[in-house]
Formats: sequence, structure tokens, C-alpha cells
Amino acid sequence: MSGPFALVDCNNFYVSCERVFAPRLHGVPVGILSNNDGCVIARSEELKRLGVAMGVPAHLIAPALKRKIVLCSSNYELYGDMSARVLEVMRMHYAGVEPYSIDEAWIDLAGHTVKVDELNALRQAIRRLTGIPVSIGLAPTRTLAKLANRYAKRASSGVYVMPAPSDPAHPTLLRATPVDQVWGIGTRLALRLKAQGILTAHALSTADPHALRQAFSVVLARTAMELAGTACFEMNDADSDKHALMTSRSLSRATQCPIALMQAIRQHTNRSAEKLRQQGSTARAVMLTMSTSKHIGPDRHHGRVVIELDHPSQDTFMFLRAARQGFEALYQKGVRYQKCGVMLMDLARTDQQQLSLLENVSGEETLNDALMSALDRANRRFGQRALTVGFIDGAGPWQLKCEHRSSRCTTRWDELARVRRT
Amino acid sequence: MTGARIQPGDILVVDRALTARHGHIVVAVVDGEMTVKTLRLTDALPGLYSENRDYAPIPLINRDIQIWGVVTFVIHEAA
Repeated sequence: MSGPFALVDCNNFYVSCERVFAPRLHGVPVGILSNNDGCVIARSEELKRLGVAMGVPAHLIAPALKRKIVLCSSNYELYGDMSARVLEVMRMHYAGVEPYSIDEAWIDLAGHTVKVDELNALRQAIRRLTGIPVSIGLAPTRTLAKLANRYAKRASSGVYVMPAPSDPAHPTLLRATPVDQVWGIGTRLALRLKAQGILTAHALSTADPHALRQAFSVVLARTAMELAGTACFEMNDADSDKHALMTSRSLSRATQCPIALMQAIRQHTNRSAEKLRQQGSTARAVMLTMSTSKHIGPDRHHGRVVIELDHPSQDTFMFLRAARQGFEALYQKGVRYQKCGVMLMDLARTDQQQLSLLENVSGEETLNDALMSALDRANRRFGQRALTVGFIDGAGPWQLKCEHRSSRCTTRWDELARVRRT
Repeated sequence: MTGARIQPGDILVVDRALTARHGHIVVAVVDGEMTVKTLRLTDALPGLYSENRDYAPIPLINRDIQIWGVVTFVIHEAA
């Protein structure tokens, strides 16, 4: 944690990905919808200016407004691949690249004398090679780099370098920054800070770290120190490793049919288990959630049950057995379920595992290990859900609705972008 | 364009890192649409020229034109 740090953030990332292969969307208000075409989860600047809020359900947008805007289904395969390409360009320029989220990455520039020109060159290279516009903030600490990035977004150059903490411009800038805009400070914490008279980033940076630690938390004390210019955060401090894996989804229509529900659960379990094996983890428990639509008022029903496994596992069969057990506990006749989810919990890395005396591996499990890796290989080669454990109807109401999804043109041969020849 | 003969359904390999020069086949964005043309800069009328002579060249001036990338290979289906 030496620093300085640059934070590279892709501007309106999902929308930008769509625009790379659909240039007609430039300058047009564009929104990206969540799974099942539910809510707006990403917006272009033009859409923000029209006052369309984040998270608003698509069906609540007025028809007159809808005609003026473009709504796309989310195309995660495209976004994931474009994200990897942006990272690749960054790695061509710098060694210390650390992905942070799908559209953000840190560069630890320890030992570099960074020139603004270099960051400009990086920004232009990313734009040119991937088509994605990015903003870059540079500062001595991650918390300040995050702030610098906000300013970079407003700067026409797209790059902003935070003044050094010794520079008189530093406190001026922090005074102008409300405390709730500081990385890691949510609305609730901001309210508590305000009650103590801490209204700006500057007030937080000059507060006594020990007092902050006592009254709030060690994380907040570190945030204060970071604002003052001392790097304290490792990358994974702010959000820890994935300790749980969730696959959940609304059904395109509510159903009370246990067979249909169990198929949806089977699909989610298959998917979660695949992700689990991909990241090399095991799970010790399976949580199942089943709920009705939140719009039906007092009859709302939300069930949740956790089934513990005898020992950590990667085996889809084990998870399905647990999920089925959970389903039998939760399912109520006559209730119309709208959503179900499967979460694999208490994850551990396979390479960090200790087998206790009671947890010796049975013959069945060794066999299933081989079966699972064959399953994953087949699905990687022939497409998701080429092979599943248990029957899943490809046209059921739990299948993803994505009527307006763009082509997955960077990852599928049969969905390449098309150009006119004339 | 030296006989690139791009046919309908061909697969184009496009390099975004190259700087487009005279004579390159390029994917260009013209009025928001992606199109494949030959870039001619030293002609009397610099512009994007279509392989098909039925289509008039698109002059580079007074139009919203961006070069998306340079075509480096053309793949025809063999069977």
C-alpha cells in the first residue's frame, strides 16, 4: 500500500459497450435494463438529463418518454469481455493493475514518477483499442484517487491529478467535498457524522483518528488518514472476498406449479455450482429463497431456508439435494411465486481445506468430482446448460427475458457485428 | 482496394490499433452506421469509396464520419 494510485473508471460502462458496436446510439439517451428487463441499471448522460432515475422499473417510464429513449437488455457476456479488454490495455502500460469491479481498476504506481501525459496516453489507448471512454484520477491514496476520479469525470481531459496534501489547494478541495461523497461513506454513516459536525471531507481528514476509531470504526479512522494523504487501504479492505455466491432471478410470470419452481431452482443451483467450481471454492451450506411479487401487498410471502451440508462440497448433486430439501420446507400450496434464488454459502478455497477425521471422502464423491469437471468442460465447449444435473425446460417462465439484447459480438462467432458493404 | 472482393457474409478482421492510410479498407461509421469502404486520401475527392461502383463515394468533408478500424484480413466461406 505505497501509492500513488490511479483509479481508471469506464464512463457509463454498459452503455459505452453497447455504443462501440452500435454507433447510432451515440448522443442518444440509452438505458440498460436488469435481468428479465426489469429496472434501469445503467444510464447514459443523456438519459440522466431526462430525469430517468437509477433503478426505476421499465414499465413505470411514461410511454411518451419511452419513445424518445433506447432501452437495451443487459448483455453481461459483452460487458465482461469488454472489461477484460480494457484491463489488457492497462496491463500493456503498467504492471500494478488491480481490477476492482467490472468497470473500475486500480493501478498501484509505487516507484513511478507519473506524468499526466502518460495517463492521457493510457486513456487514449483504451479509447482507441476498445472504444471505451475512461476517466482517470491520480492521488497518493486510494480514497483520494476515488475522489480525483469524480473530478476527472467533469474535466474535459478525463484525467485529474489530486493536488499534493502539502499544497494549499488540497484542503480547499476537501472543504468543497461533502462527506457523503467520500469512498465508503454511505448515507447512514454520513448522517451520523453530520450529527458530530463532520460535514465535509476536510472535516473528516482533520478529525482525530483515535476518536473516530472509538466512536465509529477502524475503517473510518483509516478513511480519514487516507484523506489526509497517508495510504492505509489494501485493495480488498473495502470489500472482502466473495463469501457467498447467489443466483436468483424473477420468473417472467408468477407460478404456483411446484414442477416449474423446482426446475428454476435446479437451473440456479447448476449455475451457482458452476461459478463455485470456476473460482475454485467449496460451499458448506445452501440457502434457498422463494418469494412472491412485492406488488401484491399483504399477501406477500418471502421464504428463506438454509440447509447445511455435512462437509464442504463442490458437487451439484449435493447442492440439489439440499435445495430440494429446502424447497419442500418452503413451498406452500396456492402461493404464486415470482422469484427464487439459490445461494451457496460459507465458501472456502479448495486449496485451503482440511479434511477432518469425520469428513473423509467417500467413493461416491471422488466419482462426482470427475463428473463435475466433465460437466463444466462440456458446458464451456458447447454452451451454458448443454449438460445439466436434472431436467430444465429451455422455454419455461424462469428463463431469462432479454428481448432487446445486443449481439455478443466479441465472444460468439455467430453474433459478430455486421457492417454494410455498400 | 486491390481486389479485396468482399462478398456478402464474409468475415472481416479489423484492427483498431492501426492508423488508417490512403488505400486501406476501413470500417467507418457514417451517420451512425457501420460500413466497409476504401479510404482514398490522395484522389481529387478524398473520401470513402465503395467497391461497388454503383455507389457514389462519400466525401470526407461535411459529414459525420469516424474510422472504426482498419480491415486487415477478409475471410471467405469455402464451402
